[in-house]
Amino acid sequence: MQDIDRSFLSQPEVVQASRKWTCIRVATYENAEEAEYLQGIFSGRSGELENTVFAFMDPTARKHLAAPSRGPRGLFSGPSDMSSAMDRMAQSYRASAPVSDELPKVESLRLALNIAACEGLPVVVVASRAAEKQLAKAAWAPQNVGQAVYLRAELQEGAQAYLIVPDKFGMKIESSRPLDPKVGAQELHSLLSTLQSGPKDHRSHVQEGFAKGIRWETVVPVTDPQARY
Amino acid sequence: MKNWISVLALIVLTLSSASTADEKIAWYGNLRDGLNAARATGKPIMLVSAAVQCKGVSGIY
Repeated sequence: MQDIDRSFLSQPEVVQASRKWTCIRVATYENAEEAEYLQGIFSGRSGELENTVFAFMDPTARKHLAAPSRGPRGLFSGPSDMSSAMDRMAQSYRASAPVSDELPKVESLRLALNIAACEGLPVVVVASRAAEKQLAKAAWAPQNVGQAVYLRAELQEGAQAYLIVPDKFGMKIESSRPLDPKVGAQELHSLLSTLQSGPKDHRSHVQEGFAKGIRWETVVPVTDPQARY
Repeated sequence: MKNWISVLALIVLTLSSASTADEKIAWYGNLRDGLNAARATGKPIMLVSAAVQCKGVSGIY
């Protein structure tokens, strides 16, 4: 998946094309309901849910706009090809402005830390719907979209929002600090930028994880035949 | 003067390209919220799913 990110999903032309789309990125095997839905979208030769699923659908999610697959590599020759196809497909839909007072949240701190570690991003935790609304304007500013993983959870008394940096395995909190949910877009951008980390070397990360006894238990069993362990 | 203009132009160019490179996709982190947002905005859906572990080691797709 890291390779798909580097080759396609982080490329400027794909990022630009994505603005006309609702982009959903979920963690495979971490929610039984989502896993069942994903398997209905795509399963490989084994008939089981695989580690990655990739699909384009209409806004009602009833119609596929391209053949579902494991990733964009089988569908597109490169990021320019992918962005052109996304632009063509999106032309059929007259979209309104995005929902702006809700943050794109994940379900739990456990998952937020792991996803943030995977993506080299900080986690922003808000304590209430009010704090979420206050922060949403800055979070959806063009320079801040996709720059953090969001979560709503109870916080220490008085705190309305927190910035959290996970350790490299996403198993624990490395550092944290309070955040004013009324923060401006540019200040939030500066804060988030300083808390991001670069891509990891896949092999050495896994080897280090084995050496340190890191063990992530998925919510539903891993069924990808290529993901034996 | 020409040198200063060239230097300023280079700085602006560097800053703008750095800013573009830094932009990311705005991902919804759970299916329910993402599908609701698609219905509300009328935007088509790009759905990506990835395992957040490799061979049981977390922190890597």
